Amino acid sequence: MDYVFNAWYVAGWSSEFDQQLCTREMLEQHLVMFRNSKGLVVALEDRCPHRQLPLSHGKLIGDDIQCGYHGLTFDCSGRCVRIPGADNIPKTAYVESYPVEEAHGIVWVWMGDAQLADAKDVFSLPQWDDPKWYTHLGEALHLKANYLNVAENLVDPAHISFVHPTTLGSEASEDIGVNFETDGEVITAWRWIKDAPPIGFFREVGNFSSNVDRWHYYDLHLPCTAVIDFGSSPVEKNLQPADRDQGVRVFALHFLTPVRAGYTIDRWVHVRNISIDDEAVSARMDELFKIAFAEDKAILEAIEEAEHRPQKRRPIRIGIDRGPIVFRRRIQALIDTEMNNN
Amino acid sequence: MNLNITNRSGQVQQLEFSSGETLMKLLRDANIDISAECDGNCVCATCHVYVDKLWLQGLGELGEEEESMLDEACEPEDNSRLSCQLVLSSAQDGMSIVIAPDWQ
Repeated sequence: MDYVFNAWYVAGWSSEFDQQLCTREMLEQHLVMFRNSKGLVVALEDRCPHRQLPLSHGKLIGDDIQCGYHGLTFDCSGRCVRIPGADNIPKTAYVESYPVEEAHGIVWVWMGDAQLADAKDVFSLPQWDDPKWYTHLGEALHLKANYLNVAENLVDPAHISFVHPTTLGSEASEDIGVNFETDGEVITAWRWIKDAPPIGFFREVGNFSSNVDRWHYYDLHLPCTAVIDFGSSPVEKNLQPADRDQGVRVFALHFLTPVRAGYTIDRWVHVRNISIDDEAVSARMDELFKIAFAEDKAILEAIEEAEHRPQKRRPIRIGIDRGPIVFRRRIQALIDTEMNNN
Repeated sequence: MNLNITNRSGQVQQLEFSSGETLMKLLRDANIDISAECDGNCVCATCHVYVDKLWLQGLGELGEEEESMLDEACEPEDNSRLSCQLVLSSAQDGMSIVIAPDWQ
């Protein structure tokens, strides 16, 4: 499987890292991670350059990791600082070190050329710094599905009528076309469903009972972050697209981490402009999202199996596939560029 | 105004068109065998045709999306076009096109 390496990928929430060794697999690389005494999260290659034992089998001594086999010891930068029984530490005694950034409770790791890592490129949602919005960190959804299929599901508003009938979709949106646009590194597929009964999610979260205008904007930030902006507003308000903040508006953020071929972790977050600070509402939103995401997991894992069975025909492509197809093309272009530069 | 169409069996037929029509819709309405799966959204390359090289210049530059999609077409050539992206005008009166092969 090919990946875009020069990007920040989520390794977990801040609360998952403390002064103990833990492991992550990202883009087929095995990492050992911990929080050092200065409070900074460290990510190193999880393999001793000597006899290849994962360093996560060793132990933390202060801010250094001691290999569990012969005691080679590595500092936070990956440099070997001790080889027991040897006077000399050769230059080749090091493990790869990965740039890490931590912001808004999220830990990001740069998986590519460390020279290109720039903290300014870490994803940030403008609403995160706005007190009129409330952010809740969700969970990590593990899918036995390749990251391209998971990501394309997140630039595909058309599936929700059929996959999520009790939460995010409804019959009213079945035949409504999908609009599409790109802006730099963001691919957007979107549509409005006007004057239709509220979907299950907004009957509960927005307390809507009569017909609403509803929007779904699926912004896929290359390579692997999706921002799903959806919301509802009473029909009589005739809400305009630019005024979505005046409706009940929710962002569902998905940070995809390709683990390996056929395995992806989707760490999700939700952000809303109602019920600020009300954790009971956050908990109910978690439950509703978990119903929907379990539905996505079921179809994506079934597709992963079906795709690997022999078939004579190319899958057909229909008009709603524009977001997914442009996404795949753009990802492939990024991968090709990285390969040509190496 | 007319086009000369060669279908996949090698038979030639004339189709009448008016300005502003897309070639894909003209072919489909005439029951020419193209699947045009994506209905003109430029994501499937199953409305692929070869344009007589003498007429290519008059069609202008390929769009970026059309060019990317032609890379995925079945047996693309230098004179390949996606008929859903080709809006006909009087400049195409008398043009000859050949329906490209499909995967199925």
